[in-house]
Amino acid sequence: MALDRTSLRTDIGYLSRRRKAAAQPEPRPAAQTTATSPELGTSRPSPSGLTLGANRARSGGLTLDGRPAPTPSAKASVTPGPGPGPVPSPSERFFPAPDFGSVRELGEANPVVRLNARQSAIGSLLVTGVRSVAWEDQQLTAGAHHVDGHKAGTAVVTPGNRPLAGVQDAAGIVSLRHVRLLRRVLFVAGETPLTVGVFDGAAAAVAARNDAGLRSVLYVARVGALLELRAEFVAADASDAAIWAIFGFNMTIPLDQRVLRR
Amino acid sequence: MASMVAGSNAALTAENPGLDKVLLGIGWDMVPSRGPQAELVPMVIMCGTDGRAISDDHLIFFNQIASPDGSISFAGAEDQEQIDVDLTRVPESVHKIAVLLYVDPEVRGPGTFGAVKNAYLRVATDQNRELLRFTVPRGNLDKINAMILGELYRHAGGWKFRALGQGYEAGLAAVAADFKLRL
Repeated sequence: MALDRTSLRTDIGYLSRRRKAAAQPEPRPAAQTTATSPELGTSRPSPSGLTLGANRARSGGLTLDGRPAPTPSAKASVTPGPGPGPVPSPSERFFPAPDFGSVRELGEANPVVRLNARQSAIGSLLVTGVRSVAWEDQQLTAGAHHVDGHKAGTAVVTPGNRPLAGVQDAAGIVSLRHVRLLRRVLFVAGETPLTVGVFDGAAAAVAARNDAGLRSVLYVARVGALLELRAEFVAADASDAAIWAIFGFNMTIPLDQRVLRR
Repeated sequence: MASMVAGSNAALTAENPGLDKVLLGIGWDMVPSRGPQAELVPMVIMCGTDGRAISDDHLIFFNQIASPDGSISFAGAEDQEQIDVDLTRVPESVHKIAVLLYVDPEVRGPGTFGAVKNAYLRVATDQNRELLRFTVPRGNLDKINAMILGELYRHAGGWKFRALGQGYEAGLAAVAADFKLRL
């Protein structure tokens, strides 16, 4: 069965919007539509895919035998197909994880919470108690910002002229308006607990160290439209560079603006 | 194409027999700035007869791009945002579909509508033939950070559209309180 590539797949979180069909004229009266159907039956558009059989007309994809490919009917071309059906809720599509706000403290007992689509996209994700923040965007552009002002890698600037992620006033911040640009973020704890909050008031805390004395790291990953927060632990004396390596972050080299603006 | 003023309404389906799908186009211009800018976000809320959101899942915006029933979906394209509404698939429990713009409540200086020009909401057929257009009147919007642009609502078995341009000074939090959303 041919895939309908124009309908919206709302059941798949990472597919965003439907591919909008090219602008078409207003539907013509039925008589005209009927009159055009023979044309459709006899026109021979170039095949857009591999054709191995004798039939070379009207094929939009792979054909392995000599049988004619299905002929699109005129009616089908003007009658929209069924729209998207009921959408399963995210809780039905993902593995179970507590809602953000239902767990007050993340740690080894409760390491993960998941934000809903509204929490993941409105305002800012604000994290206090950080030593540094490292980010990686959809293009794998990576950078980091230490509360003492040191920076590494490449900043990602949003259309609103703000960093996608960074440090301001000793707090780590992610711009959730542009959450779709984000891949993941690391918030490395300093000497005080990490506290994380979003616009709706939901919040959670992570102790700066676990019972074994390991340093806490809050790992934020975007899964489709949703953010997941996970408490991880690293050696207390691990440097930022060592922590980036543990989580597979490779700082990208920023391009000189003079190179970009010639 | 009819141009509307705030508070006016139009009998959308009564004047356009056979209209079962509409496209809502939302657009605006921003006064350019090198610093942090207000970031406007279009949003649709599906409401019951009491004017409140049916549920938190009946808020549709860029990160929740379709209603649970599939009747409303964000399409995107020529305007800043385009929203498809299949009127025949809107559940009976939905009496009103409010179309809003809010300034993202970013903690690093969110801004207001003060830098926004020519904000509009237009209603078109699904083939993008424009039926109605409402342009927000230019005024002092420096304190406004959310706005209901207009609403589709059921009337006498059909659908009407009302242009509003109703601003909020308390932003998305006030919108959430009005529509009983948990935001």
